Amino acid sequence: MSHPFYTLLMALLVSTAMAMIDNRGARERLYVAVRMFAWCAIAVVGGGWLMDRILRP
Amino acid sequence: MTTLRLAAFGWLVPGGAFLLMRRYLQFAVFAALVSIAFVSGILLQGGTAWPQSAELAGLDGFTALVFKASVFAKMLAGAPYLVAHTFDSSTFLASRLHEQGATLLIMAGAINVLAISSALDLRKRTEATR
Repeated sequence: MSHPFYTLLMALLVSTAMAMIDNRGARERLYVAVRMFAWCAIAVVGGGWLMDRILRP
Repeated sequence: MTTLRLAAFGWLVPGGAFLLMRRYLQFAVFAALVSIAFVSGILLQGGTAWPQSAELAGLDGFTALVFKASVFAKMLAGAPYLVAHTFDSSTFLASRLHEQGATLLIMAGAINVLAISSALDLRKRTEATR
């Protein structure tokens, strides 16, 4: 499995799971899922950029 | 329904604690999430074997503890782990080579624990408001 697809799968699993906990309405669950997925994307892109800054000769 | 029975059923059947609480959507989603993570992990050749003492020989205590903890986390996925473990003939060290698969299996266990803790928390809050 390619790394981008693997990362996407993990982000989808985490964001969906986090959206389904607690006693929330459908709209709020959607907001939580989108927010969590966005944070995953930011963490991956930000972490990748940081590693690039550190490792670039 | 006691807390222990709810937790035990929730462990065995992914998302099962929600099923007992008649929260069918949450049960279906958590069951699907755990199943997807676990099946993906198995397809990526993640292992379910418990580390044998011969495999842990020469390792420091902390590393051995981390190895055991990783398998324990996979066990938290419940019935999918038990089924996979029954048919898994690989050793622990052989499965360590497949990190993506192992991580997805651990993820399945973590999602199942999240489902159990969320269901128990909801039950506690529901009882408190009565």
